[in-house]
Amino acid sequence: MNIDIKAITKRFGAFAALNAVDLQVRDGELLALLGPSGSGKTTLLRIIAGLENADSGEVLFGGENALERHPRDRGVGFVFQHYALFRHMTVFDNVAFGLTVRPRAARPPKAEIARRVTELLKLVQLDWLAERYPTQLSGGQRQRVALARALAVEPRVLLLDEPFGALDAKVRKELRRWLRRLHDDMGLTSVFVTHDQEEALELADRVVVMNKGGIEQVGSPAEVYRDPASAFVYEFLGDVNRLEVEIEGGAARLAGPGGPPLGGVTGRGGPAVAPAVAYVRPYDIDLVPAAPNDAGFTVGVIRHVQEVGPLIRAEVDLHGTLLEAAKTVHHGGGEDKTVEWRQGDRVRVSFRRGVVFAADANKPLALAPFHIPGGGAGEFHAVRT
Amino acid sequence: MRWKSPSPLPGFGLTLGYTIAYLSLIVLIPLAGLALRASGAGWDGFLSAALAPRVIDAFKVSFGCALIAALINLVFGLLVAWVLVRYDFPGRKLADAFVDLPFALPTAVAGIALASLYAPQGWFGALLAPLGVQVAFGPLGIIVALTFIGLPFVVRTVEPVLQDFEREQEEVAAMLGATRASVFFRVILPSILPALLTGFALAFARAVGEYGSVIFIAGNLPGVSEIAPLLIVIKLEQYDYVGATSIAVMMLLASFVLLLAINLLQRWTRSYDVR
Repeated sequence: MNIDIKAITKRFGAFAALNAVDLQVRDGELLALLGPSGSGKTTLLRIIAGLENADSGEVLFGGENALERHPRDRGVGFVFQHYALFRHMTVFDNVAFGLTVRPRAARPPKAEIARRVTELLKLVQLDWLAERYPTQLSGGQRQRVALARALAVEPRVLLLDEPFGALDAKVRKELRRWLRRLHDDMGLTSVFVTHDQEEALELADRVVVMNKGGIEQVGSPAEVYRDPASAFVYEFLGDVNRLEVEIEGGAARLAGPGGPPLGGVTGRGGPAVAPAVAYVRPYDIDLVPAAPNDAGFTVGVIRHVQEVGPLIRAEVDLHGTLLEAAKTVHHGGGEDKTVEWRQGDRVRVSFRRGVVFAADANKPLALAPFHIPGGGAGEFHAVRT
Repeated sequence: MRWKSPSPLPGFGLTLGYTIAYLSLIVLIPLAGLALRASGAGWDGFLSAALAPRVIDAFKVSFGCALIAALINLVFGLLVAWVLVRYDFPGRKLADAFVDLPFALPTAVAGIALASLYAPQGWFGALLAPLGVQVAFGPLGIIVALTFIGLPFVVRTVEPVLQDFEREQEEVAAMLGATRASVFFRVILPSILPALLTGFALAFARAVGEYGSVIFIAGNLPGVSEIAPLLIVIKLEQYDYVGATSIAVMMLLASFVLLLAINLLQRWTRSYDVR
């Protein structure tokens, strides 16, 4: 079941929750709506479900207009962040609800309902809890019951609103993998909302990055992460250093008087000075011990070094601006060819790659390292995350 | 059985002691005195005073009317609470404040006002008289008065529960194919039923003991519209203290049994709430 969303607009008073949003959900894919709170992602999900009315625009389910249909006739399963289980019903009755609530003529016989519910509870691995009440279950178990309940009516589309938002990190990870398997096994078309980038990148086939009621970028997790289409996506996805810079003569340097040069900017020459913002990921920054005669280079001081699991992070003070650099540690096997980072060291900072958004350009420009004479940063490129 | 609470929170002994002392002072000792006074006439005296035909009739009127009034409040109190919680309309706050009026108004004032409205010459009474319905000065009048004073109990107990009710449960039920009626009867009603029963019990208890408003509208005809509290007052005026306390003790017992039953019913409706 593919879903076509055309020019959906929704306002709450003066606030535009969605601004003429277009989106195609492909049949059988698992799509993530990712964005900060207030970006409109939940509103969009609720409009697809029919829990909210759009002011204008169209939603087509397999080519048919879905907005005219009552939510109950859309064939949609919906899962809420806080489960929304019926507290006064057992797990079994919760899952059976969608079947027992049907008009008599369409209702399966009791034995058939029991069989289907048991099957679904086995699928979510909770058949042993059928007679319990929701208050007796853990968060992860409750969310699985909510999923089984949504699946009981055999929906064509599964919509999940922050499905793992209320769970702790470990359960969240488990449930994520489990949902991925379930989605593939059942051949559903699923859309889930999240503000957790890791969740979106790990789980989804495609990620829709939303901001302020619009879509910033749609693409595979690798695409949106590697080639962010806008400054917003760059900032929202993954760790990134944001630097105020000025472009002058095809090079970017830190803004302010005496700002050190950072690298060349492709596709923009000329002597005009333009303010811009550069984004560089921490592991695209190389730190090399500075030689005494390095005055002409971009030299900073390591303020702080921190080891987090397989990562080493360093905070570098570059002309008054704090940068975060990172590299992976090679514990054991294989020789670590990189230089050790120590607090207080003077280091030459080079930016392996980055992106510059100039105020007067409408597309991102690439930031590339200068050619460094005498060996340069090349030999330190061995480590990449 | 352990007396000490295993809870690490301090103050159990003190608070329990205070609770018992307070309950004794305010409730238990006066009631014990009542029972003691009633026992003055011995078992036979008590029974003959408490089970006299006129007394039995008064009990029937009191409990019957209170039950009907509480049932009316159960339905319409829920309706009022529903409207106040679910809809926003001009004057909602004002309407909300009106609900409490029966709490504040001296009950005698309510009784007189209702009696003059429903009397055969009153605004409502004049309309009802041609239909052959007489409200004031009969059992119907008692029900009207008891409904009036019992309304706030149901509204005020159901309102917060309805307010806290997760809208998402309704939404999920609708997505699963439930009609509006199924959503209400299968999802919303079971969730507010415990509160509804509490409100019902309070309205009922209040109605059983009501005196002030009823005597003005009831007509007070022995065997037809004479309530038990009035009978107690009549006995007192005749200096028949044993008779008065005997009726009182019977009322107390009956009320206690009924409230206990409602409480058990309420507990059963929340059996899902295991912790």
